[in-house]
Amino acid sequence: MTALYTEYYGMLLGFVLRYVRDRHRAEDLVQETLLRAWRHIDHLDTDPARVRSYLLTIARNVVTNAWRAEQRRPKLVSDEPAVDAASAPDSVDRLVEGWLVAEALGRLSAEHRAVVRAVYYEGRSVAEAARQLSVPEGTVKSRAYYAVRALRTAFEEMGVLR
Amino acid sequence: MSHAHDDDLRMLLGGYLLGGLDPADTDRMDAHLSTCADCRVELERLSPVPELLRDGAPIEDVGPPAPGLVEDLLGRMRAERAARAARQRRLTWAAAAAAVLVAAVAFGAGALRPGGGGPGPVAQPSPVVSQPAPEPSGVVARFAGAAGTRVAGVATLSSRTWGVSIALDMSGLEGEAPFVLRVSGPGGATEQACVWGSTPSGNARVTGASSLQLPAVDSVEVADRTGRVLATATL
Ligand SMILES: [Zn+2]
Repeated sequence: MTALYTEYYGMLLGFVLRYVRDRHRAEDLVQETLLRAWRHIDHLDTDPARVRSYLLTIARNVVTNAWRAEQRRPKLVSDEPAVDAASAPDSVDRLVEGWLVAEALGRLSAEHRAVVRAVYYEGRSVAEAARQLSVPEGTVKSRAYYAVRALRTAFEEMGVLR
Repeated sequence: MSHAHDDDLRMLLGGYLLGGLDPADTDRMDAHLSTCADCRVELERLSPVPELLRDGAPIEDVGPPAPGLVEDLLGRMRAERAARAARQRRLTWAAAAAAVLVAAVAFGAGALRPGGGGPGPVAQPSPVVSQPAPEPSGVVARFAGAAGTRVAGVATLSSRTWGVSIALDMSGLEGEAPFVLRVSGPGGATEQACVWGSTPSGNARVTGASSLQLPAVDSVEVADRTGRVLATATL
């Protein structure tokens, strides 16, 4: 058991470090992932491949929430993480991706785009977004779902995703 | 478990992916995902979306840079360029191209980051009293067609952090496609900047890229598949 979870821990840390450079922060997020998963993990069969896939599912959500929380924090220039040479090639990709994302967002309806902006880029909760946009919470939830589906389709049409 | 959940729980996938669900909904979804393969598959299918959105997040406006910062950066950029050109002469062109690209990208990323925090870049008086004005970002070079061809056109070269972007507007192209655009730099270093096929009209508008920095580019030439040079433009 310990060996298995040591392996899961390593896998999750590897995954989280793709998005979070700070190792302590990444380890916190891995622990949060495991704590959340352990609340439900007894429902799963003991197939390690399925456990892994479930853990990654939760880790994605944890990383997304952490990223959103950062977006929402007031930014200071000195907060910028050090850019080292190893990670630098990302910045070129980032320019290209920035253009692709603007294009994909442009294909959404104004209502769907407003929900993506509020909950994702501005880090608002569903309840806060509902108040800001003057729609019921259920509408924010369904628009978020249909917006993600529409974005998936847009990225497919643009050849970014298959 | 039946799929009576779909109207309600399935909708939560959007908030689960983008964030914003409250702890109760998040826990419901965690529980549901542990048993519903359908929703896990759908989540997996949609999961690249937030990743793409994050990587393409709008660049924040951090205000104008500190006075003197840009001059300081340009000075460093010129020094970097000179050092790079010297280095490049000593290396084979392939190795040089790789090194230049990495150096250019690394420097470009650093340059984008305003130097806050520590004792960052201070506008120091430059040792060079009169620095040349920054080069214009676009340089236009006219092609001379090789003897016996009607090839003509212009190349517009624009400086980029990673090298140079080259927009071609050609006419009278003949010979065996595919055509290639080659960029020549210091010491005869050559890079292929783009490849394209023939067009019925013989006209072509294409854009290529090279890791050479704009000031290091001596000439660009268009050749056909056999290597025959159709046109050359000297900078
Ligand atoms: Zn389900």
